[in-house]
Amino acid sequence: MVKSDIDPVLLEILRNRFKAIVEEMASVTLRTGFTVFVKETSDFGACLVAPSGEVLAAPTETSVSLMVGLPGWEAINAFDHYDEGDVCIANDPDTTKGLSTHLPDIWVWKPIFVEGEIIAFAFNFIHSSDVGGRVPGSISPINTDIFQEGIRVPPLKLIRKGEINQDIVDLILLNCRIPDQNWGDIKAQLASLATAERRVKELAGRYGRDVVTKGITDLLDSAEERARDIIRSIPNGAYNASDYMEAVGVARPIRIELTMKIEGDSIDLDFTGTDLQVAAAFNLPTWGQQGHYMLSLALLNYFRTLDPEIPYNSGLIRPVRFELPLGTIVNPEPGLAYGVRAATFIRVMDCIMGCLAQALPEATPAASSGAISIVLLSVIDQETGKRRITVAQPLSGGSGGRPRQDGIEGTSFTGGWLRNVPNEVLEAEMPILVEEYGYPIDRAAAGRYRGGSAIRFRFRNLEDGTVMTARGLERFRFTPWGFQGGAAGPNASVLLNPGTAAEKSLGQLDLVTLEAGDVVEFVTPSGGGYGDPLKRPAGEVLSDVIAGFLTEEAALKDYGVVLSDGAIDEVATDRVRVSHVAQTLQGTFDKGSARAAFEAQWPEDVQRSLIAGLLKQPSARRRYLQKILEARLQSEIEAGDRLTPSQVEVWLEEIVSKGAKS
Amino acid sequence: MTKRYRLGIDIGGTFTDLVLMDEASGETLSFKTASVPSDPAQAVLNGIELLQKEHGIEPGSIGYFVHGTTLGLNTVIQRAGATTGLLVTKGFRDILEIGRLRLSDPTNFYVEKIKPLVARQHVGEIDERIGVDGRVHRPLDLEAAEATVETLIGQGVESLAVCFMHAYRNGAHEVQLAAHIRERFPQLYVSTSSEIWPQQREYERSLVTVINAYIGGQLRGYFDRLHDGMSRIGVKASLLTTKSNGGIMTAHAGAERPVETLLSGPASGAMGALQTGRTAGYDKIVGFDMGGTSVDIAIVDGDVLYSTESQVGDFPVIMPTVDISSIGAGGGSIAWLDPSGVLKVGPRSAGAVPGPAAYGRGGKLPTVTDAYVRIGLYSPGRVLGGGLVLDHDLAEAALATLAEPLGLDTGAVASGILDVTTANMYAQFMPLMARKGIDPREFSLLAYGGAGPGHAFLLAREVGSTRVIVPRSPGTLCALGSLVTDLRRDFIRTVSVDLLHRAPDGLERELAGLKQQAFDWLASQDTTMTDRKVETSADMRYRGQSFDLTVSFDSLDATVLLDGFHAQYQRIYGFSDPKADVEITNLRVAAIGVTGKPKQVVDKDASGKKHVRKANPIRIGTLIEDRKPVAAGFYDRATLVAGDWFEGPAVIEAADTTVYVPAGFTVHVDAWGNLIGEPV
Repeated sequence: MVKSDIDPVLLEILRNRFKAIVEEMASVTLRTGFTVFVKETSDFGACLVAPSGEVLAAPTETSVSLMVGLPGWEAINAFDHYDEGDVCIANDPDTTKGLSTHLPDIWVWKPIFVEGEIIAFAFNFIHSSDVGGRVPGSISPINTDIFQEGIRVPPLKLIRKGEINQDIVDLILLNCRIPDQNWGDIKAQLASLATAERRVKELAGRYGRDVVTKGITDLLDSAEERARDIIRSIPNGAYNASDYMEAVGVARPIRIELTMKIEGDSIDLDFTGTDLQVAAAFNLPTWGQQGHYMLSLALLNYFRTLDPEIPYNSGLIRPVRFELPLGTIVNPEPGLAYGVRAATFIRVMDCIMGCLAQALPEATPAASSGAISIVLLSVIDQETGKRRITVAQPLSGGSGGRPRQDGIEGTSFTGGWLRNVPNEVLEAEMPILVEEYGYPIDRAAAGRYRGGSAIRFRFRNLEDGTVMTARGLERFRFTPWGFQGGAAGPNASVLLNPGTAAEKSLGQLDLVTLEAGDVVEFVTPSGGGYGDPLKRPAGEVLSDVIAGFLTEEAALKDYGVVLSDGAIDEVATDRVRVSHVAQTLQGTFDKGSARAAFEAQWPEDVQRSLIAGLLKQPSARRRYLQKILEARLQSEIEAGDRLTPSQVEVWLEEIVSKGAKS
Repeated sequence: MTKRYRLGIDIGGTFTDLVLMDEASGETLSFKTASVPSDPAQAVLNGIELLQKEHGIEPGSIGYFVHGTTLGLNTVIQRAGATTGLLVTKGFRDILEIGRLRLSDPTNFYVEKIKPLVARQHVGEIDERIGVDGRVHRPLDLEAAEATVETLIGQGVESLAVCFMHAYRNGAHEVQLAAHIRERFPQLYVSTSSEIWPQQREYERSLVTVINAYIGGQLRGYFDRLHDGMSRIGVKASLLTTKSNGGIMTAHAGAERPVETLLSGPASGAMGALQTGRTAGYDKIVGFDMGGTSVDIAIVDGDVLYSTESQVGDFPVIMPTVDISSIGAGGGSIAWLDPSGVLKVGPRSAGAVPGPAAYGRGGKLPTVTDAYVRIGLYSPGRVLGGGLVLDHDLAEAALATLAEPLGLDTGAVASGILDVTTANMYAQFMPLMARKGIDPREFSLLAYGGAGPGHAFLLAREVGSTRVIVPRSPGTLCALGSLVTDLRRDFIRTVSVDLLHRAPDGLERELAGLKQQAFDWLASQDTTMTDRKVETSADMRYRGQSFDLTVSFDSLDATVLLDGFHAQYQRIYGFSDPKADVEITNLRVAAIGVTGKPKQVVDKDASGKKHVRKANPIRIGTLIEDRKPVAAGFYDRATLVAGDWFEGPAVIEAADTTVYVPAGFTVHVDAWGNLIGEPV
């Protein structure tokens, strides 16, 4: 029990009051924000932060669930003095040291004074549709440094003592392609902060400043305590998981590795073995911040799944320590490109789930689709001559099968906050005809509890020159893992003009200009299965066939269920199911054949040795050394040689010394 | 025999409320009869027979009869409707399965997606396609469609919904197919999206169409039975039924469009609140209807607010309804301790069975009601509505389970439970007000339902309401509301977003078409109206935003529309941008058939002054308030008359409710018998 000067009744009252404030902040932003990411994908956030920089309350009903764990201290300490009525602004990951994680996220914060002292800060961010840079929308996977990604705003005082600094506004807006929308967004953010200030002052007026201050401390402590209780229920041990991103613009798939050490009531997340930073926009600038929100979400979800009433604040993340080697993709050096860092964040979540699955096999789902892509379409407006951008559909894919339930069709915990776009609205905005938006047959991984279905989205473009982007789609090559005997999930595919002579795979596309009559078909990846498909009751398999999720052929092949005339042939089914060799599937992962083939050539210990060796080299030389070393390893592979870790070390040594001599 | 009564009936889960109003004097008679869940029509007939037997009211003297039913709502919530099929445009089989994609709780690994009302195998894909401009891309293949329907019937489908892409713009394919099906398969109940609610957005439109088909057969049968039964016992008045939009329609219309009845119960309550407020001179009201598990919040700002995004069970409904929001806290909410020893209340509720511990029906867990009992709100031995007597010892025993771990006595625990409950309400209430752009300090809280008056003052104190109003009969406000409302049906037309600037005469044509539909509907309603009119409004937004505001207008003039939009935007969001582009997305017309209004009873003693004489309490009791014992006056509602006033802490005991007034409020009785509480 929390030792508190405030009684448990008042603490619950304060928790409710803070929740009301942050939900109100989020509602105000949602209703008044302008850019597509606010309205269609809820990509914005609001929270209250303690003077220490820890998040004391964050919304759970509106907006992206990515607030808890933000390094508020960096923003707060960017200034040595605050006056009442100040509002600060920033979007730069480097100078905010990981508060912002890519330039489109425009952050604002405001100190809330009560009786002359700061009692809390209000924070708010919006993912703006454009902040300038090389490409419209500012995000491109093939950007190589931050200067291509838009205007950089270090922490600045946008408003001093209630007076707005118009110079800053003018400078920012001049550097964006959609200044009116951006200004609308900033006003929405200011409205959200003003709401927070008014409500916190009312609260302090009602209960007294000291009580509120003490309440903030106690709420953080109580969340920490509850999180520690949960962690104590996880078996002690070290659990390891790894996975890949097939990032466009990068030669070898990007490796994410995580070792989760559970000891008593604390968790260590050690990212040693994770790949080097890249010359593409996948770097996740955490600045090594403890509890960083982009690395914590899966754990927070786990805490909230087990204890839905747990206070939602940064106390939850206190028991978790991060080991984030500098120079890796999860703790890159400054100045790199960060635009598509969400892909990295998603794969980190998969690795956390992979570790939890080993620690708690009876409580953890198989991997979800592991990708989020927002398909954007744009045309030149005939009338205004300006470019119009619209979200076509957010695409993600289903969740993994779960310990007692099938996976979720079409979406998952990774992008579960995303709302789709009514296709009728889409057709009104863009010159396209949607031909299909639904669940394709036989695209749900087999399992005792099967994975959720993928989504197929196919449309016909009706006018020349429609531009399509779909960044962040992943899992074309490697598959989401199945667990406990469940099959790996299906891959993604993107086809241009499918079923015609001109059919072409677009794969992980960046930007495509379409001609009139072109048809584009997306099929998302989807989650893996959980448990042995042969143990799935035949009745449930039949239900899936009747509902149209599964063909009769797949029922036989994947589940060993024989159907005839729409009914189960019990005798034949028993015969097929018995004939399968019983094997121990407890605790096993099905990571798919593509990964097995890749790792046969690039064994995991070889990759580890490569990464570790390069990280020991001076940072300025790493990329050069990596290129040469990988080329050499690749030619060895092609020659049919088996790579070993020690060989990698020797060759790296050779390349280094040769380079030093010349 | 002269017809001189109005009868309003509200059918609830346990009781059916009847309010009989004398048209000449405005005097009312309210009573309850047990509901008959297996045949809701029977309770209505029982009630009318009771009127005759016990009050000598001839069925033939009922000249105006309105009833509200929760049959449609319950059918949806209990998933007890017909086996329903859905016909969609090819390629959109998963329209219901996918919905709007977003998970109810994306942080929960075990979250369940909402199960649609139509099984996936009962969705038929039809070869046809209409474009966004209403042009036919692919003609309807009627033969293949018929085969699909036959297959569905073979699978047991009893009811069909049809929703094709862009049918809001061109409903020809839907109409053609529906006509064909109705002729070939007359046993099916068929609804089409272009008839039910022709608004752009295929998921939401198909959903209301599906709900209509899902409950249609049952509701049609119910209305038929009720109609026959009433004819049998001699009621000649037209059968009217209440709607989610606060209006009424004939039962015949209800059988075709039962989806419009889903939220009629709370909507009638809001209409009752509106009426009470208007009569008493208040036009800014937040209705506070507290039940066992939740509080229904309705807003009156001049008129009731309407919503186009209400929730019915698991589903969003886009047809206009009176704006009712639910807050998860009620008299049955259970108090408990979380693992860190913090006191929590709800969301679990003891419901009606076993109910709060004090009910003595086997409930052992402490609830909000038990806390009321412990602080002294209920005089020992007092008999409440329905004959219930609360058991103080059982409440005490339940609270004792929390007292020890909290280190408090049971009185302080009870006080704490009420404080946490109020904080729960606050946490949901304030963001809700923010979403509506409403400052609660400018609004009166009007408490109704059995439990509302017990907690309204506590919430009013936290949110800063100007006053609390408790009407004369808070328990039957819904039935009363249904007696004073008008016939109403909403019509919508989705228009091309740039019509406002590019082709205002096109907009004018669309509006004229809608108005024609509205007057046609009024003409088809077989009941007496004193006036027929339409109200016009438009959904507008800044170009680039996806939230519309519905703006009323009198003339379809661009300047008027834009000014109205900017002003409303300013009011809700605190700023507006007169330079920004504005689009219009939908035109709306409400058809209103005004019904004759009965007289309001005014207290004969009313002098118009607030504080005429200080009322005498029937006794002085002890209440626990903010954890301290205080002396409180207990008053008998029946003896309070206009001009009486008193101060909190006080308790007012009435037949259908108990009002709790904490310290800091003064209460007076106004000319219409309302209790008006104002902060000192």
